[in-house]
Amino acid sequence: MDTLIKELKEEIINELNLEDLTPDDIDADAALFGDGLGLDSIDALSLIVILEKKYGLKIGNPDDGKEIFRSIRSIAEFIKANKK
Amino acid sequence: MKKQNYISNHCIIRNNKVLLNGEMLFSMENPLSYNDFIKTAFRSQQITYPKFFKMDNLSKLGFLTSELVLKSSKIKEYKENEIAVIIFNSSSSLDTDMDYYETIKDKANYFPNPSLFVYTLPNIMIGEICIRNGFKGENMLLISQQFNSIALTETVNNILNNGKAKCCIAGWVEYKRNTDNTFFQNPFYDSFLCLIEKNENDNKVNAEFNIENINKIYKS
Repeated sequence: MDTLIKELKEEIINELNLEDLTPDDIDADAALFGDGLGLDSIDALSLIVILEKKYGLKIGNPDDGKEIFRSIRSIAEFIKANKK
Repeated sequence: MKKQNYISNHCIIRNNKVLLNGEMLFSMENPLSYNDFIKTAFRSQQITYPKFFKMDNLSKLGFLTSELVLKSSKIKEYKENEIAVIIFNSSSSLDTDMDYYETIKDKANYFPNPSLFVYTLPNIMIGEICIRNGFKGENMLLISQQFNSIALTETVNNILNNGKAKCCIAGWVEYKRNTDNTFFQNPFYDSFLCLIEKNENDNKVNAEFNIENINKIYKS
């Protein structure tokens, strides 16, 4: 799980151009939106693309998105539970 | 009677240099890339705005130029709807359009990139400037084959003299990728923005806003 979390952090920093951050700056349990990492709606779309492109995963029910994208850890848990 | 407007500040970014009101503010010898230059220039000005790094090449250029033009200005004295932004360029958002196209051209690997898609319009650059500063006045991005001081002066004077705005950030922000098949694919970038106000002011520049002065400053 730790390897996946580190990989996700690097992927997100790279794809979302979070240039001022390093993986160590991101708390795996911190909120990605709002007061946490401060991502916006375009970033949310980019996260969906990362899941699909890199991990081959789609979010079937859009209502699940809020919980899946709560934090880096919740994304990692979703990937671990669904990746074939 | 012909109404006279005035240039308060002007900023030029080109050839790895940043000039504010004719004075060298930043320069960089042999940057690794355009991105290396523009990000280093941005950081050198101690501007805190993480969203800058998410912008496309064109928006980064226009945004940094606007930040510097406004730095020592009295822009806060105007209401948000009294400030206009008028920018011309030639290549529109073609640089990002091409990057975005790369994400959709292969049907077997079709992953449209949302963060690129949002920059596939050149007026997004103006949007970034307006969001940063809270401007809600008139704004326009006009395409012109080359820098055109006549069109620029006429457009800005029209906005100011018809009471649509009391001041205007205006100029030319061009970013063009080098599509030649050469090893060093340096882009061409050329940014020139002025702050133009209806009234004379105590600013050091305080030049009359006319074709002659605009040409003189742009070519400096």
